[in-house]
Order: sequence, then C-alpha cells, then structure tokens
Amino acid sequence: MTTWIDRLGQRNPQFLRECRGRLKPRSVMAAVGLSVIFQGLLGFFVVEGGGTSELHEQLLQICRALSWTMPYTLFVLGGYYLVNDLTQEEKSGTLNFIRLSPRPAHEILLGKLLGVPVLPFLLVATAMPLHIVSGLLGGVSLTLLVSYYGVLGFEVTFVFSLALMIGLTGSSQSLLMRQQAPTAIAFAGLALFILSPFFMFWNVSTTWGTLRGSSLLFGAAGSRSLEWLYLSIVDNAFFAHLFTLGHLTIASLLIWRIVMRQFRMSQATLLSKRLSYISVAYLNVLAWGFLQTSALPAEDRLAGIPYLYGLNAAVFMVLIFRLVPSRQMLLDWVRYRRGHWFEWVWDDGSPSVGAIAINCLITAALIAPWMLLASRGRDSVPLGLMMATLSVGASFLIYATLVQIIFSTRLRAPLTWSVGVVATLIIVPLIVLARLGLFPEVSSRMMTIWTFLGYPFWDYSKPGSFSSAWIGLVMQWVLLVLLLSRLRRNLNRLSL
Amino acid sequence: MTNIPVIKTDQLTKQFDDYAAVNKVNLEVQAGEIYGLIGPNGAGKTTMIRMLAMAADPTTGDIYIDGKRLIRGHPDPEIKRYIGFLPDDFPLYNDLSVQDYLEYFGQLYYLPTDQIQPRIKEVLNLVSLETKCNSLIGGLSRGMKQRLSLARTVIHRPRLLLLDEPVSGLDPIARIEYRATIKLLHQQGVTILISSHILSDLEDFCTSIGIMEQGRLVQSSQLQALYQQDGQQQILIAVLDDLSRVETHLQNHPLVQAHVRIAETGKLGVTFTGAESDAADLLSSLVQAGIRVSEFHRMQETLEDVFIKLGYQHTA
Repeated sequence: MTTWIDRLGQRNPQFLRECRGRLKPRSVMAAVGLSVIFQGLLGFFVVEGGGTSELHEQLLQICRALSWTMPYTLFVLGGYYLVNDLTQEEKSGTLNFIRLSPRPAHEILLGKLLGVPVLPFLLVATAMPLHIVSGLLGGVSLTLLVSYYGVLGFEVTFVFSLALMIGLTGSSQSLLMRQQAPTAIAFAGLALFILSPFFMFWNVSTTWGTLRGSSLLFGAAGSRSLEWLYLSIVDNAFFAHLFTLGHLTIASLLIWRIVMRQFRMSQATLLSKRLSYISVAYLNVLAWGFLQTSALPAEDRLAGIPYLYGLNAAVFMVLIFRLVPSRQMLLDWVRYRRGHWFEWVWDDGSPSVGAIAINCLITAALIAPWMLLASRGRDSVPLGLMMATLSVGASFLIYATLVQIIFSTRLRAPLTWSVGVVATLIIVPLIVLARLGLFPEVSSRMMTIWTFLGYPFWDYSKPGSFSSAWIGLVMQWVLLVLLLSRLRRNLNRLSL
Repeated sequence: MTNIPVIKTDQLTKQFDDYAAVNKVNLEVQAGEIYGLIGPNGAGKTTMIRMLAMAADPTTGDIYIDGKRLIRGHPDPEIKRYIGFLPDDFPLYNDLSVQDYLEYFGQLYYLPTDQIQPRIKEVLNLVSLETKCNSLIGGLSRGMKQRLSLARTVIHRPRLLLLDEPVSGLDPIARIEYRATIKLLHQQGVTILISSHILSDLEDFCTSIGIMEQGRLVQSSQLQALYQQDGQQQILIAVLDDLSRVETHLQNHPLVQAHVRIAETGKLGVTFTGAESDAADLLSSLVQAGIRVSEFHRMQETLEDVFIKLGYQHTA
C-alpha cells in the first residue's frame, strides 16, 4: 500500500529528502517551542504594556507585531538556510549526483526551495493562527489578511529564488570563492537590512495601503502619489496588486531562468546573453515607468534621468562582470565554435563586449527618444544628454573590454583582478581630480578629461564646453578601439 | 545485424586551458563487457569517465550511449537512467539513514514505489550492508560508505556502470569483496567501464582493456588479445638429462627468441613468442625428441607488465 509519503516522494523526492533531513523530532520541537515562546512573550508584553487599552487594541498590536516578524523570519532564516545548503552541496559534490539524475532541474530546485527552509516555514505556520485570529478579532479585514499572505507568498518565492541563485553561483563564481558561511551570512544580512524592510515599506505604502483597515494594522500609509505609467499604485487596489505581484512574478521568472542555467551548467556565465537583453529591457521599462507620473510637472520630468543613469550603471556593472566568459570558455569558443558574427551576440562563450554593446543599444533605444522629447526646447540639454549617453556607453564598453582582456589572460583570480582594476579606474581618478580641485568648470581641458573618464554630466551651455567634451568622447572611443585590437590579438593567440 | 556498442566516442576531446586532458579518443565498448581503463595519473581516465557520465561536457567530439548521441546541455533522461556513475570521491548525506538515502535515489531515478523497498534490500545485500539499513550514514566507516555509494549507483538497475577508481583506499579484504560484487553485477548483464590503478584487480575480471596516456587511448583490445599481441612469454624448463640437448633442440625452433641457463637452479629460461597452443607443441616436441622433461613452466605476463611495455612504448 502506498502512503502519502511515498506519493510525495514520487512527486518530488528532493522535497521529501529535505524534510527528512531537517524535520527531526528535536528540530521540530525547537522550532515549534521557539514560536510558541515568542507568541507567549508577545502576548505577555502587549497585555502588560497595554495598561488600560482595550482588548481589541491589544489584539491589533499582536497582529501588527506578527505581521512584521513573519517576513523577517522567513527571508532571513530561509535565505540563510538555502544559500548555506546549496553552497555546502556544491562544495561537497553531492549536488552533482542530483544533477545526474533524470529528474528535471525545475523539480529538484522546487524541492530545494520548499524543503530547505521547512523549519522557518514551520515557525511561521505555528504563528499563523494567532496572527489571523488576533487580526480578525482586532478588526482587520479578511481581504487584508488574504492579501498579506498572498503577497508574502510571492515575495517568498522571489527571495528564495534569489537565495538559490546566490547559493549556486556563490559557491563557484563569487569573490568569496566557495566560502560557505560568509556567503550565507551576507545573504541573511541582505535579507535583514534591505529585502525585508523594502518588502514591508513597499506593501504598507502600496498594495496593502489600498485595502480597508490597513491603517489599523500598519498606521497611515506614506506616499500617496506613486504612479507607474500614470496609473496610481496607491489608490487602486486591483492595479496595486497587479503591479506588485506581476513584477514579482517577472523578476522571479528571470531569476529562475538563471538558477536553472546555473544548476545545469555550473561553469557557465551567470546569465545568458539572451537573458541579459530581456533583463535590461525589462528593468529600463520598469524604471522608466515610474518617471511617467502626473505627480511631476512636465518641466521636472528630466529630474528622473540621474536615477535612470544610476540604475543602468548598477545593472551594467553586474553584466560586465557576470556576462564575461572564463578563459576556458573563450578558448573553446575561439578554437572550436567561432564562426558567424552573430555568435558575438548569442553565443555565451563569445567575448561579452558584443553583448554589452547590444545592451547599451537596447537601453539607449528605450530611454533616449523619451529623454530627447522631454528636453525639447531647452537649448543645450538634448546635446548634453546625447553626450552623456555616448560617453557613459563608451565607458561601459571600455570596462567590458578591459574585463574580457583580463579574463582572456592566464590569471589565478581574474574576477578579483577585474573588479579591482575597474573599481580603481572608476574611483581613483575621481578622487585625485576632486582633491586637486580640478573640476570641469576650471578649464575646458578639465571638461575633456572628465568626459574621457566617463563623467560627462556637466553644463554644456558655456561656449566651447561641448567641443571640449566632444574631444574627451573621441578619446574614449580611440581608447576603446585600442583595447578591442588588444582583445583581438589575445583571441588570435588563444586560437593557436 | 550489427551490435550497437554500449559506449562509442568519436574524436572525444576535453581541453583544459592549453592542455588536452582527453585527446581525440575513439572508444567502443560492447554490451556485456567489463572494460578496464588504465593509465598513469593525469592520463585522462577520470575526465573520460566524467564525460561519459555527463558530469562534464566535452570540448569537441561526440558520445553515443547505446546508440543515442549525448546532446550538450540537454541530456536525455532515458540515457541518465541507463547509466550508473560512481566517481572516485563519494560524497554522501551524513544526516540521512542508509534506508532513506537509497530510497531518495530510487525515487530520483523514477523507481516505482512498490519496487523501492525490495530493491533496497537487494542492493544492500549485494554490498553486504543489510545490517546497516537504519544506521545514519555519518556513522559508517569509509569502506561501508564506499559500498553504500556502489549501492546508490546501482539502485535504479543501470545497464551501464561507470566506475572511477572504485577500490582505491580499500583494504585487501574489502577489495576482494568489491571485486566479487562487480563480477556479480556483470553476471546480471551490466556492462561495466572501470578505471583503476590496481591492475591486478582489473586483470581478475576485465574482458577488455584500454590504456590511456597523456589524454590519448593508446591501446584498446580484449585482454587475451593484448597478451597475445605482445607475444613474448617466459618458459622455465628443467630436464633430467644434460641441458645442452635442450639448447640444441631450441636453436632450431622458430618461436624461441632466446634461452639462458639459470645457474642457481640448473634450469633453462626460454623467451618464447607463441600462443598457449604453441607452448604445448614445444613441450611435445621436446618429449618426442627423447628429452626427459621434469618441469615445463609457462609464465604468463601480468597486465602490469603489458601496461608498462605498451603504455610507455607509445609515449616514447
């Protein structure tokens, strides 16, 4: 006779394995005990500290405290467990046996995602009855509670997918070089200080803020003017939920693609070139959408441009270091697979410079027309924006070429070297020039130097400033051509 | 009808930086064989086995398992079920019991629910770990863990076993038991490709041998053919008469390369280049010549001798 455990094992053996490894009587008792003690203490302090306040207010306080505690518990503990587990499995080699099994990757990873954090799930599940009952008796609407758990579910999927990604890549490709505990602790820190607060802040202001009784539980909502493509995310409950859950789904799917790829091919680049194009386009549309708001007067619309530049700078820095193929991949590509020019665009073993250039073009195609339209009639602004876009794009290409050159040479830790070189190039000249007081306002020569260094954000209304910056831009492109020819020489050497 | 080889590689190459760990290897292993892969450290045996097991991607070249081509990055689940792979290290889950561990892998390989428990008993019996069924893996000795790894490798009844140095680190008794297990699996119709440094072990049960050197497969043939290919063997002859009569007789024999008197024993050492039947003919010719032969001892070369001769010859 088959039991439900057998059926579960047939459906997802990985989930069953994780549960068997973790749900030992002692661990279960500890988790349940901890949760019960926490709930007891919470009740005690609320009643003791509440003084003469009404029962319904005390119940609300309990519900509020649990509403804040549950995401933190899940994200921090669950994320830590997942990163730690995957790093450990990759390090010990057990993950290879799972890879060799005929079960599909998504099934294995789903088993990991649900099974590894089973104790944090248990902690939260034990607190759920008190959370729901105290909420309902305290006057919180059922809709808000359903929304709370729904959004939490989506967010858990996103954060745990991210943890899977870090766990899989952190063990083989990170600067921490297979250091299991630091990677897991770093992720727990990220969850504690960034992911959890952002999750609560965002949903209290938007998703849950649109529902009746939200102010009872979370206090008055903050921003009331957040729009995306002129659609309010804080007034309309349907759109707020659609926006949050929709983007969480897209982001989780993108991360899931990376996780599947890393699981199947642990030595591959973090993301494929194809996925990088989709991700860059998606992130730019998402970010640009926030600038399409009725809250900003038309003349202030350009104020969001630095934010777009900042976002893209961060995205491109990740891409430059994560799209670059290793020397081995490059060598295999150069010797055995190099053929058509479009392989520079699609083949993950080809140099990353082509993909970075395509991503620059995608970004420019998405935001440049809007920038030019928004800056119409403002004398030097369109020229400045064009200059900034070309110069920043050239900087990205220079860094990508440099990183690829470093990766094409025989070095022990190319990632560490390339991060060091790029960070030095970005930061050191900036500090030196700033310390010496050599700002672009000082002379036109300085304008040339700052533009050459990749900082083209200056006032071009002064006579001659544009031509000075133009020289800097030409110098950048000359440097890029020189670096590309060096890369070409390296590739030719590899092909011998 | 032609037999489809269980393993076939075509110009299989694995490049690590500028070094070819496996270099244009064409290998064929027929069904029912125990194929021993031998070679010095760094010859490419492990890389070769890892590629066959789909644990590493080849740089170029093709692999066919049971006639099906392996597609890089998209391994066929059916081929995965066809193979059992035991690497030279054997990481296990110390937090699981032996029973749970094998059940987990049985389920991973889609073993039907009603077959899992009988199969676990069968494989634990095969590796003599029946008594450890409920023990935690963390508490097992190294030898037991190695046997448990083999049990995990065969839990799903693979038709092809890829064993990389399976007996390294085992004591002599455990090695004998391990050899017996491999022979038993072979009797059950499993094709086995095994690499080992301990050539005497392979000699005991291999049907074919491949010698790898510096990434190349320098020799691949059936074990008996390998011995015969080299040809030379030593024969020790003792007679009741004067040895000079034997020497005169041997001088005219076409298969005798050389002979030398062994002073301490009073015997004659003969270097002979014939098969087993030729040696029998030589003995009968001596008897027919009226020589009273008191001892005729044919010394078969070991695999180690052949390996040293053939392997290093090719390198040179």
